[in-house]
Amino acid sequence: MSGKNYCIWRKGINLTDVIILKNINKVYPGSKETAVSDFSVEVKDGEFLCLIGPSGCGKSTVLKMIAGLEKPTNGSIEKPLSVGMVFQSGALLPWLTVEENVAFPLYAKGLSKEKAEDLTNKYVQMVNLGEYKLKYPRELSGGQKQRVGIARALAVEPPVLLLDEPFSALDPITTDEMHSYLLKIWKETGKTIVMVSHSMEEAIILADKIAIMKEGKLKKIIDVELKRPRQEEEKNFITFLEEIKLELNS
Amino acid sequence: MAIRHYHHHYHFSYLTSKKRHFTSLIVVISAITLILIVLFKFLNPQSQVDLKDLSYQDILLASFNTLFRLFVSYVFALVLSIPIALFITKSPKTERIMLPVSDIIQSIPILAFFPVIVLAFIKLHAIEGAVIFILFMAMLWNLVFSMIGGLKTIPEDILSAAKIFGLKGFKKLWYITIPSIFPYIITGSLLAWAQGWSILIVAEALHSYIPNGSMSQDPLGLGSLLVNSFYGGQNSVFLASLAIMVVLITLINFFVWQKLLHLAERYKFD
Repeated sequence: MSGKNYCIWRKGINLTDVIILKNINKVYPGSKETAVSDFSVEVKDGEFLCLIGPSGCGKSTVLKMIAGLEKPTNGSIEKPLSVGMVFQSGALLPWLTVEENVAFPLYAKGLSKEKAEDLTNKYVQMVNLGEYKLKYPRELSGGQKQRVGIARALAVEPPVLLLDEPFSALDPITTDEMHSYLLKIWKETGKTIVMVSHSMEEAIILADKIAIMKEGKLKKIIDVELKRPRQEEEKNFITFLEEIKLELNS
Repeated sequence: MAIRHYHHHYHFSYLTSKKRHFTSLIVVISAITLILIVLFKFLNPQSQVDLKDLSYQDILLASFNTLFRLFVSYVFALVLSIPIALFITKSPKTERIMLPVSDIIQSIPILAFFPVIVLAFIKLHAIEGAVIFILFMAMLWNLVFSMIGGLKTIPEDILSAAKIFGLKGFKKLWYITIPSIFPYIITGSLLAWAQGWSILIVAEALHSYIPNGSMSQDPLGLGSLLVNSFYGGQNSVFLASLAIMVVLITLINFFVWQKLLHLAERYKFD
């Protein structure tokens, strides 16, 4: 990745780290509560980080700061200029078809028709929605909507993909399918992924690294050294699960 | 067989056929011809028709005049209501100040301004301007408040997605904001036209607000025909004008609003 793609807020960036958050604090205007307190994490190129914790622990705020949707009150963030984001609701435009939803950010960026169509086709195929490309979001299932959201985020070809609890509204079978899709896409594209989840099992199935948050603070970072595909019944899986539970309950 | 055409960008693309294209062509050419005829009549006004000797052509022309005035007023109101609604909802601070201010302005009856505005336009020899201004003011606030309602219902995730995709200014307006509030624009437009029709008899019967005014000063239209035939005792003209107005409102509702309300369903968020 070329250096010019990076928004460098602090000098001395380590190029193997795609995202560096250092001593981040976030207090929302008008609020007395600190949403995120002294949060630091580094995410390497091609790494899969999962932020987990109970509701209101600040994990979505951290993701929004990486996305550039919120600014930290203090602390520094180094991240690529371009990021793709997948939302819990899908955030699809109901008046556009699947392919139009994927294509519109490309047209908005000023890409030529040919280039936009190529990228749209590539990523619509990647999420296996080729035969649904003329359908509207209301005609799709929850899992299909999220796959469109993933294709749209990937189509702008960002080095980093952010996911904000993307599968929390899906049934368990669809969630399993989505995990397989996401891992396949991650393997094919080599993107750096940061995902927010409230499911400990989901975090262990997917991530290389899990950042456990509680009350706005980073409790612990766990490296998940398990071979993929990971099974919930595995002994080591259960060991990681116990470790996370222990951290969250301490 | 249906041929898939994309119109301009992907936005607003829809399926069309050769038959639809041909029909659209005829409708557009007819509409342009009618507008040109009415515009010509506006620029070269005839002396006021005699209500006792009114022809079908006069009533037809009155109908077109009225529709044209309502349409022009609506276009002005629509174009202006978008920046007003965007400005009011720009930030919580502007909303706190501008929302009550707009509410007060819209609650001041348009008729309170009426004599002053009419006199000002007459001084400028622009009777049509007076009618269109009155209709415009009556239509504007329905659109503004509907759009404010719409702007506040755009989901936070959609706005975040727009920000991440770098959509700002006109691009954000075109790709996100306008389509997101499209259902609200349609309901606001429906209310605005209803308001326009209801104030028509006041807007076109200008003579009663002009000192020593006479009926001959009224612009030809369904509203002025209704008022003047009623006071002149020409019951047949009155009934014909009323019937045409009811038919026009029904046709517009059926061919425009019902279609647009149906289309608006596609623009609603889950």
